[in-house]
Amino acid sequence: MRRLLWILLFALPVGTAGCAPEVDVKSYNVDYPDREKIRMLTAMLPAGSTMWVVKLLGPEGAVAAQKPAFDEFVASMRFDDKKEMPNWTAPAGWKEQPGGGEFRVATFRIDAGARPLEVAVTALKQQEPVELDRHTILANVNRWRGQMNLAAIASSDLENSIRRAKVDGREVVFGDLSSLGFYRVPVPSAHGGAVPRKAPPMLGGNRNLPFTFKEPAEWQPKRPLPQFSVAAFEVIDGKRRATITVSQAGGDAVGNANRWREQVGLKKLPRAEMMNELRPLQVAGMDAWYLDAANPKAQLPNNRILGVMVPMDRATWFIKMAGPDALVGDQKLNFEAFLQSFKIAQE
Amino acid sequence: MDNTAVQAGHPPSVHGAGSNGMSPARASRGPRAPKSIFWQGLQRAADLRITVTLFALSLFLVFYGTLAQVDKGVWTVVAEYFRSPLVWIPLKVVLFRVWDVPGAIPYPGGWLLGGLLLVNLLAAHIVSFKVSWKRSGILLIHAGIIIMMLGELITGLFALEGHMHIDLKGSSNYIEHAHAPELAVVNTIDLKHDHVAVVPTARLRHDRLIVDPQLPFEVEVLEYMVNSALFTQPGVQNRATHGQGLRFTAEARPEGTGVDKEQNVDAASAYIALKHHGKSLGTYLVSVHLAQPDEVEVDGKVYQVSLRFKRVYKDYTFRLDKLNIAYYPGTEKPKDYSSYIRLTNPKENEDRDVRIFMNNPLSYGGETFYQSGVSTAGGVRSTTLQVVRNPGWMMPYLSCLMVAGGMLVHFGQNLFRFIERRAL
Repeated sequence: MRRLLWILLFALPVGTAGCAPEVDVKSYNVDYPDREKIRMLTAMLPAGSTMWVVKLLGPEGAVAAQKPAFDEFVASMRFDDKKEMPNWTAPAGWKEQPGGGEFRVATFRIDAGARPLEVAVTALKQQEPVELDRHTILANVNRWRGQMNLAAIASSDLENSIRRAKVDGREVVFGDLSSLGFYRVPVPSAHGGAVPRKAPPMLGGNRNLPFTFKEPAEWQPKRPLPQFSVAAFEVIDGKRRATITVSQAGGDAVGNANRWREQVGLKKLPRAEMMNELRPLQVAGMDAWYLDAANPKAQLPNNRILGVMVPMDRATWFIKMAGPDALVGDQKLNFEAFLQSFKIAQE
Repeated sequence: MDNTAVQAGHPPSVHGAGSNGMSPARASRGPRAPKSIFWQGLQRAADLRITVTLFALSLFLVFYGTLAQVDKGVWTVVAEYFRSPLVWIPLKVVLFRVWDVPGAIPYPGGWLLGGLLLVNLLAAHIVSFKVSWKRSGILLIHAGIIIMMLGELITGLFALEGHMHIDLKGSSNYIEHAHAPELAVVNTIDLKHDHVAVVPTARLRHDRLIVDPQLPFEVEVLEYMVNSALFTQPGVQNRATHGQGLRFTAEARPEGTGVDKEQNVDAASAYIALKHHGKSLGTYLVSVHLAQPDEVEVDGKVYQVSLRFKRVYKDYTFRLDKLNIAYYPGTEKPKDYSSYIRLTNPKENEDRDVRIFMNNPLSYGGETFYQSGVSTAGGVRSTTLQVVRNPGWMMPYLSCLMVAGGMLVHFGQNLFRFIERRAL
């Protein structure tokens, strides 16, 4: 017994010597038996107030074999302002199926043995005519780069990452991304398309909102939710109507603020001037920017926007009230109380 | 009362046993042969005054460690105060946070105090060890205390708590530890293999310059933020010259403290300047907020650099084949989260299906996997499994049983002796 105590007595200093926090640089190899080269082809086509997106993702070899067909399909798209859906010609071997997703309007299944490919056609509708501006292109390119485990790029590198072309007289932006990754064979849903999605691609579902909030009693929930919104309310005063939305997207604060100014008929401001327009504030304990863009003279249904941008994690949350100047002015206190109600959600 | 040298509450000098902790019985044996220096040192190590001093120091350590959690996170305090040989306690904490005085004082940390207490206790038993029925209670209590201290040592050294995050139809073979970010430098050797070098948090927090042959470049830590937020703010001077730091700026945020209601995980960020043979490779922002790494080219090789939560790779792989998410109708209350996992371990020749769901964890490879959460963010279904490993989990229970048993025996013996005396 005493011998055991002796052993313990000498073992202790040796044991505790190894108790220092980990400080050594370590290196090791990691095996990825299932990793392969994957490739994503994309095309963005603006038509009226809808942004059409065509996307193909798969193993490098299979996608390379389908690239001519992909380009041919995009080139075949024809838009008619009177019709909701464009016309297209499906290449040989592409089996058209219903969309199956909230925004996906069509899915083409390409048989390639045990690992079929899917081409998704998505329609993202806006309230105003859509444009292929740098902000929109960059936000989408970086979202796709994220899906490919590639770092986001800056606006200055955008042109090197895309290819511009014309289809049906409209500007089209093509993307072609490659990386090492894992291709997951799409699961056909009961609709025949991909797994139904509860939320639009850039947004979190309501269940996973990172914060909670409480809206003023006089605001009514707006259904269906406007595009890109995860929560929306309306306040109606006779014929006047203002909409309050909570949404998430990428982009920098000045770019977004200038977009709001343009929506109420105001000119864009240079960065330095915009800094005077943006007011810093805190939302849910996080630093945010607040813009009040009003253009009472503009004959627009929404000539005033109260907009707040809350950078959080890798994206920015937008809390926005848009409506007629007088109504938005009346509701400004309510809007600011709404901002104050935001709290970080607890697990 | 028995005459053990290790019993608490009676300084040896009062009982005539001498400051060396020898029992009166041993002391009364008369002249003996001189002991070796080593034995004399052991007798001094067994001194009960050392025990009392160490207990007092431990009490203050616990007190200051608790007070420190007003400013620091629980895990930071555990690492700095309790699982370290030495801690620098800020004077502000020493002065009970009444006066905000700059500076700090050195103080023995938990590892040192615990180790010394253990040495003291073992030395006392070696010096005056004697197995007898009368001392059985005390021996049991001390054995229980030794097991408790060793249990904490084993927990501190080997216990792990982390998460495994898997997208539907995706797979994972590593566990992430959110309390310990690491700087990872990854070189893709070929399609199926990566070589990874990682710099641990302790180096990033305390070293200005990190030079190591395992790294392809020198890393100068310009600023390390234990907790941070990223912004795309206009008009803010950006320190990064390359990579994603051109789009984002990081700002330090206070570390989540032990008294926070919301025990959120700290999101570290750092500005690092990379150099190779004296040539600058640029200043980068690395952050656990950023999901993708930045690429740095050195001598024709491309390295992916990122700050990520510490990863521990495993021999086995979990593939998420199916995920059930059900809520009670009309509520946000989860009814069923079930992860249907394909478990493969080539080393053990295993390939089988397992289901992990609420309150039904999986025990595998010495680790326990609990269904922790699910997500549908971004339209991608994914599961999060909490992974816990603690080889010393049984020791506190065993220790408490032994101490309780020892106390029952010890005080029971005294009680019976007292009753016997009264009966006489």
